Amino acid sequence: MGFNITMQSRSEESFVLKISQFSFRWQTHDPWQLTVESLALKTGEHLFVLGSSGSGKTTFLNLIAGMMPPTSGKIEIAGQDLTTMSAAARDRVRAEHIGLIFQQLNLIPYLTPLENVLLPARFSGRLSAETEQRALDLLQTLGLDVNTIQRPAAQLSVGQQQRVAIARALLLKPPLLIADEPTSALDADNRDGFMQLLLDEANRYGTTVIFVSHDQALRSFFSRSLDMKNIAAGVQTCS
Amino acid sequence: MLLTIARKSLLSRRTTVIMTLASLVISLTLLFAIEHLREQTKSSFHNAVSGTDLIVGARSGQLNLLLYSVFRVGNPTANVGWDTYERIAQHPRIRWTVPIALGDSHRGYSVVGTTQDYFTHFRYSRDRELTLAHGKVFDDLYDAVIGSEVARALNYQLGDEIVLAHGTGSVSFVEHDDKPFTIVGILAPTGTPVDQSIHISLEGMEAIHVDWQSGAQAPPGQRISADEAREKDLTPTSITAFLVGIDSRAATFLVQRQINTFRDEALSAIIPGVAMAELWRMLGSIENLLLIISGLVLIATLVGLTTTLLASMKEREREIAILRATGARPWSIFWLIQLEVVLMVVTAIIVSIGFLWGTLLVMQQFLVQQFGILIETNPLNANLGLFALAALAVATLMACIPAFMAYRTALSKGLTPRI
Repeated sequence: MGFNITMQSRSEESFVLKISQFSFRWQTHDPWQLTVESLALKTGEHLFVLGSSGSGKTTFLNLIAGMMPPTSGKIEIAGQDLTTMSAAARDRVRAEHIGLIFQQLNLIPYLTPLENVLLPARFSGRLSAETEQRALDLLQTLGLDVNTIQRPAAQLSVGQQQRVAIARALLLKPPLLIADEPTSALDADNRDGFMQLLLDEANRYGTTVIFVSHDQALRSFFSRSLDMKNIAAGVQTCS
Repeated sequence: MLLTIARKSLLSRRTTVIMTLASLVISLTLLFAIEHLREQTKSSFHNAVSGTDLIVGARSGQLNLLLYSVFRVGNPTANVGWDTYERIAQHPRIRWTVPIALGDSHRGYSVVGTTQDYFTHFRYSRDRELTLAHGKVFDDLYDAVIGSEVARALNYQLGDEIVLAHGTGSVSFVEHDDKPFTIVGILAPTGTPVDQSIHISLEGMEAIHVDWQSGAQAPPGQRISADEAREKDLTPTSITAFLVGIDSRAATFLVQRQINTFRDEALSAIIPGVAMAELWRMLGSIENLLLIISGLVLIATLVGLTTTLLASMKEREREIAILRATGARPWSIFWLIQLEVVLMVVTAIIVSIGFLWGTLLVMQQFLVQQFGILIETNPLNANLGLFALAALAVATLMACIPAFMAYRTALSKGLTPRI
């Protein structure tokens, strides 16, 4: 029996992420595998994924983000089934529905923070004066002043870079935001500030956050959590 | 969209990019320069003389005779006696002759002693006559008609007095300063060595040497003034060469053979077109070789460019992952790399054309004076465009390797490549 969290909602459409009968192996006879029998997240619901390095969490995130197809099963993002799509179609879904924040080095170093934030809009052909204004507003809300956003991103502090990454992930108001250890390079004070900013901003746009970390302490920010131990390597227990 | 990213990406790697650009500019300039010079020398050579059936000079190889008589390059092996010239000019099949006496110069430009017939019979390009832009043909003993380039470079006007120098170097220690010449005519530009010549009468040529003994100026007491020289017999004793017009094409070979076997003096008669073709065959193959070498240099540079890009791919994996995460397709990544290469090559092409243009502007004077070749300083022509396009095409083709590698990285490495 696999890991199972199903919310009580009746309407399929209100699920941001829906995974069913999902499994993944690198090779056919690899003993290591990821299995999720059923996982569904409603709009605005946040999930904490706990996993140490090597636990397969990055692979898990790549699968959810549609970077590669699962060995079997189904992954739906905002009602669209990734597993039946071409790679190009998955790219489009990712650009339009998923915001991503990495551990560190989130930004293209030679572009300014503003240009970095506008990347998703450029790639999905939604660059407009309105989006640009929105990017400026987001950056300001996140405490980055006008001077800072005109310098190359490489000159920013790690904390500032991670805040720019939040702005970028939220620019197109995606239904889903995936954050992969975004606080690992921050100290405790900055970390809590970052978490608060991230969740506040996500709540403002009704964005669902999937947050991956090895740091147990962060679990308290989330209503729901998932331990990688339970889905990886065949260890299947309910939490 | 990708353009901004490509441009900024290149700017962020300034040092590497500038070095790569420098090597691209050097090899492209080399290629363009050789192609341009090839084009220019070819037309310059072929246009230099026309309508002349034979050129006659002292016995030597046909290239040597052609070079010194038409291009003022090198020196004649010997002179042609005046009486020989007069005898050959009587030949029934010969329609006209124009004598040429060389050996003096003015500030690096050759002085040509000739007759007024020069201006009626000489043709260049395709049967084009010499025309005067200003003034008239020389008439007086101390009159000179200068080529357009001489007038332009030395800023001479009608009525200016010039002093001729003995010998053909641009710096001469002996000048004929006692017998200055007056500019009475300026020729229209022709794009041939005529532009760099100063024409005076044969008698004028004789007059400035009238008091010279065995190649040196007479000692002060025995000198003859300009006016005294007018009283002397100024029939030349010898000339350097002469141009010949024949009444029919068919007779050319006959007359040529007769002159080549002339008993009283060892002479060579050449057909300009034939000699020109030989000259071009010689120079043409050298230039083709240079062209091949510069093409290979360019390819080597492009291989270097590809290597640089390949080497940077590893450190750019993170960049590619970020672009992917923000919605870039793998093909976008491919085109991003291609765009960087195109930007670099196009920049290099523009810079090298500018560089070549500038160099030509500076070198023009030197080439004119040293080789009698007038080159167009504007290197833009269809051939150059073709070469530029070919360079761009080869670059794009080679850039497919790193671009495809980036594409593969984008496809396989996922969102968080291992650092």
